[in-house]
Amino acid sequence: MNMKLTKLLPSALLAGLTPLAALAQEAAATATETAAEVAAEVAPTMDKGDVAWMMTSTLLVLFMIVPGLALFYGGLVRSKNMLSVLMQCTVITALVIVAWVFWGYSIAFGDAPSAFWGGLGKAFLSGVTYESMAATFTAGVVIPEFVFISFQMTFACITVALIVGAFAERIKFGSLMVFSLLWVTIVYFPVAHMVWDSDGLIYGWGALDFAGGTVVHINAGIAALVGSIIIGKRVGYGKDNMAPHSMTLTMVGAAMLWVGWFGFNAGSNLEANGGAALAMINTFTATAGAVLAWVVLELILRGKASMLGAVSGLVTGLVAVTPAAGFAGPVAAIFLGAFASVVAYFFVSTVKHKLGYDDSLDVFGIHGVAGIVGAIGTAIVNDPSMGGIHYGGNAMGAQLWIQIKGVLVTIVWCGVASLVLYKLVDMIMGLRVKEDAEREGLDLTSHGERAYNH
Amino acid sequence: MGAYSLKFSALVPESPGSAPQHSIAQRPPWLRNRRTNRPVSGPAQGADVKYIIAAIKPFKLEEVREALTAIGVRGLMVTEIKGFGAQSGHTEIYRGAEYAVNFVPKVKLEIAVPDSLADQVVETLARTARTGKIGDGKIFVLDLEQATRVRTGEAGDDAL
Repeated sequence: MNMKLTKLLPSALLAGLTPLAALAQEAAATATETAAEVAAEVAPTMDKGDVAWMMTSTLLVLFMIVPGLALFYGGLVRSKNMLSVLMQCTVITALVIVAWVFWGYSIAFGDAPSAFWGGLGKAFLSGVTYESMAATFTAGVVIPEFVFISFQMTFACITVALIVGAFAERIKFGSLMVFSLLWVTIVYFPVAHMVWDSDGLIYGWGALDFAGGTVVHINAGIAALVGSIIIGKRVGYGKDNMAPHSMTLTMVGAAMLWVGWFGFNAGSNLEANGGAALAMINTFTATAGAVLAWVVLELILRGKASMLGAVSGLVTGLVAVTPAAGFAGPVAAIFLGAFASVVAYFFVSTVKHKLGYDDSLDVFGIHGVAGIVGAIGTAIVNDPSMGGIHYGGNAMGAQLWIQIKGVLVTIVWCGVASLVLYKLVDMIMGLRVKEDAEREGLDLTSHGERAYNH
Repeated sequence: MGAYSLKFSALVPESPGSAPQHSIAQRPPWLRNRRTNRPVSGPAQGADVKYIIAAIKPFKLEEVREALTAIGVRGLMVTEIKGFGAQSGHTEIYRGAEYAVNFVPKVKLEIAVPDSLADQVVETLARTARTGKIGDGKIFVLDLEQATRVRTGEAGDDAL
């Protein structure tokens, strides 16, 4: 039984801040009585409501990837590359699931008491049975470990799938799969351990990352930035019309992301209680703030508010609130989302073009930038003066520094490792398709089918 | 009648026995299908049928169709096209990336009519497709060499 996970949040703190505090205390009392009766260890209790919610959340996060992210990205590429993006998202998901079961879960959440990885003791889910329980944030409350494994698995899948937007329309399919396998193993699993496991380096500093702002979004954003620079610009970049082929599908995908994100954020609470409710309301409010901010900016600066602007703001807000979802107050979350939107807007509309790299779908501009804003902003919105729950108890300044340190470690780890892995795969098999294949489109040249027959 | 009805065709090899006798009787003996060496049913008088091509604003299509039907046009072909003329495209902006779209969507109409109707069709097109703003389109008139109704083999004005 893996009880290490329990230490993510002290139960008393969270319980004290939720309307369910009384219930939690009752449960604790019951547990104590039971313990007294048995005169042994405290019997952990499993709540079927929690289990049902976590199973639902897991599926919501899967839904974010396929079809959510796949359609969001797919609509943004040219129609000749639509299927390649759908394929990349789908197959990466399958691949990471296998890697997660084989060695990923063990590296991220295994028993080895290392600050950097969990060892290989749980490789192939060794020792996990349907009776194994994983801890939640409330002492004595557990969920089946298979549910925890599945939930965390979907996070690994979406992180890798997010990166494909950076080099969409020119990446070689097989090389991407090899890179994904290496990247998730060397970057994602260890960073997840460092941030979320109670033995982890960044966790040990007291860094706050509720649902994966650092682990998922900064990680994916940095890998995307490095990847788009190494792989290079698309043929015809800056000359050809590379406008999205279907804003309709992009909007549909973004909407699925928003819905699925409730599993991502509220599910990260691991229990169906007040903490999950706080993450839920924040997942609404931050997103709304970010959509409005982006749309208003476009209206002021360009005279027209665009659908792509609205959904870009939507994703930005979701990313920004991810690390703060369980800590911020709902009003502060609106401002966090709006602020992230402003920063990301200027990044993708101005800074990116000045720097001249071709991050096709703005993975760094949206996920990386908003992830960094959110991770650092979490220190601010967590503060009681801003309506936060003051989790961890640090002063705002101290927490700010801890957050910045966590972000920097992630950027360096991910940046360096990604660089090495891209170069390695490029040397062995080449990262990029041939130029004429790129012109013809990856759907036909890589997959032998086309998205639309008309 | 639908907006998209095919009323004539290019040279179609005739299958023996399928065409009615009266139409075969009208065949000019000097005009033969190059492949089958059979006489074909289109008279080469040329000037008795006009072929009118018009590019118009897409939203005007229905209004134009109604007006043309009213003056006796019995069929027209419609194609969604892109093109440029005096109207110079527009700019699309996606997250700060600007794309000049130089070709504007239009609808192309192709109409074959008897000579007697041609001027009226051009006038009707020009009147109904007009908004007075740039980009209203163009109308071209050509002499049509031959027209055949596929079902009956009728030729010339009869095929329209």
